[in-house]
Parts: sequence; structure tokens; C-alpha cells
Amino acid sequence: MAEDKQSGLVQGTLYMLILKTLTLEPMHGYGIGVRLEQISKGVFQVNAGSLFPALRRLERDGLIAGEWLVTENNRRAKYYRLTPQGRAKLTRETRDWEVQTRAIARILEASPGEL
Amino acid sequence: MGMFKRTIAGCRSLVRRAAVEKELDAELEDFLTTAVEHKIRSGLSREAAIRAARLEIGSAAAVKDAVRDIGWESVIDRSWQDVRYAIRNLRKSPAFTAVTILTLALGLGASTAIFQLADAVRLRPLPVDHPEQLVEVRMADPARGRMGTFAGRRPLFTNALWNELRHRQQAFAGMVAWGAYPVNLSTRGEAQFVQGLWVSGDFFNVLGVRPHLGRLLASSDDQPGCGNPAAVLAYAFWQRQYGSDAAMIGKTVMLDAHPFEIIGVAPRRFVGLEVGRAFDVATPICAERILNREQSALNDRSWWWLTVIGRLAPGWSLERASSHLAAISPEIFRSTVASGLPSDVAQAYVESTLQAFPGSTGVSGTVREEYESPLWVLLAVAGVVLIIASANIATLLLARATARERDIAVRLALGAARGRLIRQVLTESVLLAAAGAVAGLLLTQILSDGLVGLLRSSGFQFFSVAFNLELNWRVLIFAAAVTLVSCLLFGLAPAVLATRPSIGTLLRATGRTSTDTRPRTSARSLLVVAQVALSLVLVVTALLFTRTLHNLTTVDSGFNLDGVGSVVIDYQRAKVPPERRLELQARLLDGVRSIPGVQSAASVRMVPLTGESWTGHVVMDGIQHQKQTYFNRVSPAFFQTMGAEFIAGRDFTTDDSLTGRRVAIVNESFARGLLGRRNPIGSTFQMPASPGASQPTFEIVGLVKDTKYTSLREPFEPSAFFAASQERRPLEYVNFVVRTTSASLAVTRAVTEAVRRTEPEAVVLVQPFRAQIADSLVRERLTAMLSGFFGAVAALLAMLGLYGVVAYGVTQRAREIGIRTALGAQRSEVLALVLRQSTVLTGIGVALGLAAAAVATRYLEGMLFGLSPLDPSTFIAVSLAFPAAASLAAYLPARRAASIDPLVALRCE
Repeated sequence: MAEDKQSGLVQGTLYMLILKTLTLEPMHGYGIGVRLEQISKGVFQVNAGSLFPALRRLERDGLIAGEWLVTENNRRAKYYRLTPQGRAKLTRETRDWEVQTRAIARILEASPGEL
Repeated sequence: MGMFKRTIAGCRSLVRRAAVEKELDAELEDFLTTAVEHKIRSGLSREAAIRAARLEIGSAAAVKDAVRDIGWESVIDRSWQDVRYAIRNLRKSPAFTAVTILTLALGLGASTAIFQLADAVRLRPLPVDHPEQLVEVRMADPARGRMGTFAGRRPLFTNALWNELRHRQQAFAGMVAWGAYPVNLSTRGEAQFVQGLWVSGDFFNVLGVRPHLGRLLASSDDQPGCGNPAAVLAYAFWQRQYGSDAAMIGKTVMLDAHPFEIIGVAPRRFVGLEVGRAFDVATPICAERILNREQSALNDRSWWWLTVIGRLAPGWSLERASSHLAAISPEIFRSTVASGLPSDVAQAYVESTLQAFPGSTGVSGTVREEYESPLWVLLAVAGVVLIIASANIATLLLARATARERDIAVRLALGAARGRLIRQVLTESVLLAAAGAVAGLLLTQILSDGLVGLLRSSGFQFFSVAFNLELNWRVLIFAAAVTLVSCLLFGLAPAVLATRPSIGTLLRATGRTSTDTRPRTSARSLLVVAQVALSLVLVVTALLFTRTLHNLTTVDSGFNLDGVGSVVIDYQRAKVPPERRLELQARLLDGVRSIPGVQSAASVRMVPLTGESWTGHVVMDGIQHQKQTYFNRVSPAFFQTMGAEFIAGRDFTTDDSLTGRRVAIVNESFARGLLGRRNPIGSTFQMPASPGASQPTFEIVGLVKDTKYTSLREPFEPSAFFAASQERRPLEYVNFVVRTTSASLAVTRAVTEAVRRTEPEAVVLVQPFRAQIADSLVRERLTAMLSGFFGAVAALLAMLGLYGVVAYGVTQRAREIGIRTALGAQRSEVLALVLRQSTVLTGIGVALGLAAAAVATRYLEGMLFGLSPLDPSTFIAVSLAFPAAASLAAYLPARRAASIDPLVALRCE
């Protein structure tokens, strides 16, 4: 049940994306899901079944921290914010990701002669 | 993130489980509310928004489950949950739980107990230093070149041969020799025989056995002349005889009426080097002359009584030792050849070679050979019973799973992971297996003690077997492995099958079942076929063993042994000179004969059917007969006492004296094999004599019906009986056989009394014959009893399994049968419909079982007596009995099916 079939996300990238959405401001779970969907222009639909386990794991690993705050609608909700470790991790992951995607792109764009 | 942090976080959520759960609930709640609000803002109605949000989130329980799965603590958490759930479930059906645990405990306990025995007989290394370095040395071909007296259970060396080997060899860092002998503790009256062991002086040193108390024998205790002989007690004997009294060290023990100083007690675990035989008291070899005096074996080169084991010197292998032994054999045998041997025997003797054999698990006289294969067979049988029992439990679990079908379907529908459900069902099996294993191990100790109790013969203590049973790592690993395998067997299949059906079909189907779900029916049918086939093999095995035992107990031994007992009288303390011994024996016999209740009594050199024998060659018309003949020496009335019948001629009489011509009585086999068509009465034969001496000639005066000699198993062999009154060198003991009207204790006491009146210094041992024979059939009785028990259990389990499958089928098809009845099907047609299923299953099972039995029983051939492994009547009997029993097992549910009221069945919907 841990895998999310709809989103089609590469395993592990969900963590990176969540960290990224939290760089600007703390958000609650639903907000994170909506933001991901908006930014990806509807490509990634993250449902609760994948989102909550991912949040729990990031929280346990100390990359994000949860805090119960009052929302604009005057309800209590758990807001997640990036910890310094989380920020460092995101920087690292982003760099790795770029290196990898550039390498993959080079391979995919290679002409027949280069292969 | 560090391991440490993760551990802390895990522990925190384990401890604060309720708080964590509550927080998650709140978070999910908020998620839903926010989602709904969000959707309303984008223009949906409230209901539509709630519905869309719920659809998006999916099962809240499933989300929570997925979140809980994060982190290591969830494994503990979930397992604990599963265990609690399983316990709750099992407690709801106590009968099922009890039956399952009991079945498992029996199966596991029985197989572990038998394995424990097999381990003791075959696998366990000796409890000495570096047992792997020990090798046994013996003649490569002990059947050639050996003649003389053979004493003890493993007469492989003469003292001369042993001494020569010990001094010439270089392959061994140390060598030991020993010989077992029964020794009498009591000095007058009733004998008390215990197991004595002659050992070479450095026996304990070479083996690395350290004393429990005092000191053990040393080389200085085993010197020519022996001085004040020393004795070492076995731990068990010291405990039994002296109540573990430490003050016994330095005291005196009387062995065959000679004083020995007790110098120490051996450790509890060391009971000797022979498998299944424990010694009671060990004495140095040099003391043999003190006990046996004029018949001492020490200087007798034709007296075989010792066994030899050596500890390989560093760097020597078994093969290298063997070739070294072969190289030094010629000089060893040349310098130890006995005088007076027939030239061909002497020639074979000097050409013999010694060889090394593995000895790390000890050597065996008879116990290992006798019990090893029965124990492996019984282990296999117990294993098969365990498989059948596992299959039965699997069937029961399947039925339970069926009952829980709807429950499981609902769980699957609510988003439960299949893996988790399988784990839950498996947890139940694991719990059952664990409970069964614990109960089984407790049972093992009881069962194996019982087994050894069965093996221990009642009478002669020095014949009895002894096993040091302990729970060692091999036994524990065996028990664990068996538990695991049976658990997987009965646990996994139901778990997988129970969770297989797709949700939709099940939710729709339950309640109105007209047809069964396929995979489970075929699984159950397969289990039943396997059970029938396996149990049939076991029943065939059991029948073969039971009939073997029956054949042996009813086999014609040529004797009528009811009311016959044997008496050993040892009068060596009376120091009677040889020329007066015949007269004393006659007086002793008269004393016994005069006891009221004694019908007849006679003396005999070798008591029949006790395994003792005296063999030799007969010379007929100057030609030595190739085959050996059994000899014995008996007094008048021996045949009458033993219930053997005369065919022709006469019994010995008191007139057959030392000075008269030598006479003999022979049996039918002797007459047929050696005399041909000649009239036996009046014929003569000779015994071979050493070169120079004249061959004694015997005249046959009587012919008796065939009688067995050493055991019930052997065929009738040619036997010749000589007259006790013509004995030239009478021994210092004598055996009597006595026929009495009642085999009561009073007779035993009267015999002891009568002997003591005649010769106060004599020692007596009385033994009923039937009990002796029962002792000799202990192995067969054990095999028959256990295989019979297992066979019965297996057949019962198989029939229960069949009953279960048919009954289940009937329940499943109640509606169909109701419709058929409503449409006019007759009672007999419904019966046939149901019985057809069981008939097919049984038919396949019986066919497979017969084929398997035909293959399997071939391996039992050597253990059977008086019937072939493919004994037709046995095979026919089971192939009739099994279908009959199966029909009965199927008839009960079938009858219920036939009486299904169509109205009730249809209204049930």
C-alpha cells in the first residue's frame, strides 16, 4: 500500500518534492498535496495514502518538523516546516538529481555514432 | 540520521502509542475538512465535496496502516497485535486449539524421542577427549584364522595379540583394551550379577576421562600379579548400589567373591565405549587371573575376549594407520599363534592383517546393529505420522478459514493488505506450533524414558541396555526443524488459500453458496488423498512388524517352554577339585529334583535360545564336514524337561559313565545333513583333535526332533548333544533347566534353598524361560508396538480427514442437494452422489499407498521373520479394510445429505 500508482513518481523523489514545497513557508498536509498538484500542472496527484507515510518518514528522519497551529479558518492543523538538516538534504538531493538528469539526457540524446 | 535517533523515535512511538494515534487521527480529520472546504470553494455542493474528498483519500484505516508501517517499531507493534488477535481467535475455539496442540505435541514428542534414541545409538560422539581421534583396531577378516573360546560381546583380541600390537605399533599416541564380563557381587545365596569391565591400565588416561571422585586406574594398577586389585565404579552404579556414598572410596567390593579396593568413581557421562551398554565396575586386566584362576585368559592364546581402540598420534590418518597396521601384522600374528591349532587355521592366522576403523562414536557389540535400522524406520514412521497430522491440522485450519471467509473479504475490501492478512493467519499457526513444540519437548523426556524402559530387559542385568539420554544440540535442532517444517506444512497453505478469493465474488457469494471455491476443494482433496496413501503405508508396515512378532512368538522352537526356567549355579568359592565336580553337580540336581512342584530337571552346558553357542566340526568316515555343527552337553531328562520329542533311540542314562563308550544324541537336521539315508541309531562320528591326540568317537544312541539353538530367528541347524556324565573337564559352574507346575516365586526360593543345603558356598540365579525369550524379542516387540500405534493413529487421522472433507462438501452443496431432492432425486441417489466423491478420493489414495508400500517395505526385509515384504495377505487385507473404513467415514455425512429437507435447504437463503 506504500506505493502510489497514480502519481507515477520515481521512488524517493516524493520526499524531495515535499521538501521543496516547504522551502518557502510551513504548510499542512493537504496544502502540500495541492501545491504539488498545482506546480506540476496536475501531473502529480499525491493522495493521502502516499503523502502521510512520506511526511511521517521525513519527520522521523528530522528533515521536517511538525507543529500544531491555528489555520486561517480558525481550526487547528499540523504545519510542517523544513529543518536545517532538511534544507541541507534538499540542496544535496537537488544537486545529485541535476547531475543524474543531465547524464541521462546526454545518453538519451546521443547520436547513433556516439553509441 | 543516526541509528540512535531512529531507535529513540521508535521507542517513543511505542511508548506513546495512544498519543501518536490520536495525533494522526486529528491530522487526517483536518486533511478531510480542508479538502472538503477546498472543493466547496471550487463550486461543488457540500455532499458532492464530501464524497469527492472521501474518494480521494481512500480508506482512512489503510492510510493509517501505511503511516504506522514507517519505522522498525511497527514490526514489533504489528506482531504483538497479530499475536493478541491470534490468541483471541484460538480462545474462541478451545476444542480445536486443544486437539491441534495435542496432536502436534504427540507427533513432535514421539519423533524427537525416537531421534534422541537414534542419536544415542548412532550419532553421539563418546564423552571423552577428542573422540574424533579414536579408531578401533581389529582383524580385517575375523572369520578366518580364529579358533578357541570367545567370551564377552566383542571377542576380537587375545591378550597376547593385544600386548604384541601395543608394543609394536607407532601409529597411536595411546591404545586401550577392554573386555566385558558379568560379575557377581554376592558371596552366597542368590547371585547379583553386574556388568564388569576388564580394562588396560591406562584406559582412562588415554581416553582423557577424569574421576568424579577419588582416582581412576593407572598403568601402575595393571602389572603382572596385580597385587591388591583396584576397582573403579561407574557413577550410576555407585549411586544405585551405594547411595552416592563418598566414603566408599578405599572400601572393599567383592567381585566373584574376591576383594577389590574401590579407588574412585567415573564421571556420570562416561559409561564405557560400547554403544547402549554401560559398565558397573572397571577392573584392571591383570586381575582376570584372580577371578578365573586355572582358566585365566591372560596366557591363553586361543581365548578371545578383548576389544581395542587407539588414539591416533598427531599427523596420522585412518588410512595411514591401516597401512601401518598391515605392515606390522605378519610379525604380530607370527609371534602370537596358539599351539595345537589345526594347520589350516594356524596358516590363516599368521596370514591375517589388522585394520583401523572409525571409533569416534564408540564401538558396538550388538546394540547398534540391532537397534539402528529399527530406530531409523520408526523415525521415518513418526515423521510420516507428523506429516499426516499436519495435513489434518491444515484441513482444520482451512475449514476455519472458510468460516472466516466473509470476515476476510470485508477486511480486504476495507483496504487490508493481503500480506498482513496472511501474516495474521500464519501467526495463529506459529502460535499453535510453538505451543505444540513446548508440549512436545516435555513429552519427549517421558516418551524416551518409556522407550528405554521397554528396551531394558527384565532379567539378567548384564544383558540390559543403557542409554545416556540428554537434550543435546542435535536433538534440539531436530525438534526445532521438525516444528518449523510441520508449521509451514499446515500453516502456509491455508493462509495463502484463505486470502486468495477476490473481494467481489466472495462478498456476493457467501451465504448463498451453491458451488465451492475451487482452490480450496482441490487442496483439501489432495490432502486427503495424501493422508490415505501415507497412512496405508504405515498400516502395512505395522502389520508386517506385528506379524513378524507373532511369527516369532509362535514359531516352533522344538521345545515346549511353558513352566520351564533356567538356573545358574556358581560354586567356585567352594573350591571343589575337578574330579569331584561331576558328583557335586549330580547332588545339586538331585536336590532341585526333590522340590515339590518340580516335574523334572536337567543340566545343560549352553542354555538354548540365550544366544550362547558351542560350535565345531564333525568328522564322518574320516572326512571333516565343512559346515559347523552345534554342540551341547546335557544330562538325562534334558529333552523331557524342555518338552523336546524323541523320534528314535534312548535318552542318556546314569550308565553313560566316564569309562563307558562315548554316546551322543542328534537332531533331525544332523541326521538329514550328515548321515544321509543311514539309520542314525548306532552310527558313529568323530571330533577333530589337535595333531597327535586321538579323535574321540561317539556313538549315536538317540534321535530327537529339530530344536533351535541360539535364537528363535535362526533356522533348524544340525545339533549334537553329548552326555553331561561324560564331561572330562567339568567347570566351576553349572546350568540347570527346570520344569515346574507353577512358575511362582516360591519355586525360585525353594531352588535357592535346595542349592544352599547341598553346597552353602554356591551362588544361584533363577530365571523363567518365557521371560528370557521375551527379553530376546524386545526389539521386535518395540518395533511392532510403536509402528502399530503410529499406524493406528495415522489411519484414524486419515479417516477423520476424509470425514471432514465429505462433511464440508455436504454443507457446501446443501442447496444443490435440496433442489435435487425437490426435483425427485431418491435418497439412494443422493447417497451415491456424496459417496462417489469419497470413493474416488479413497481409491486414488489406496492405489498410491499400495504402490508406495510395495517400494517402502523392501527396505524392511531384514527386519521381518516368516513373511515376505510383499506379504499378499497383508496387502489384500489393507486394500479391503481401507475402502471399508473410508465408506464408513463418508457414510455419516452422506446420510445427513440424504435427509436434507429441500424446504429447509431452500429457505435458508
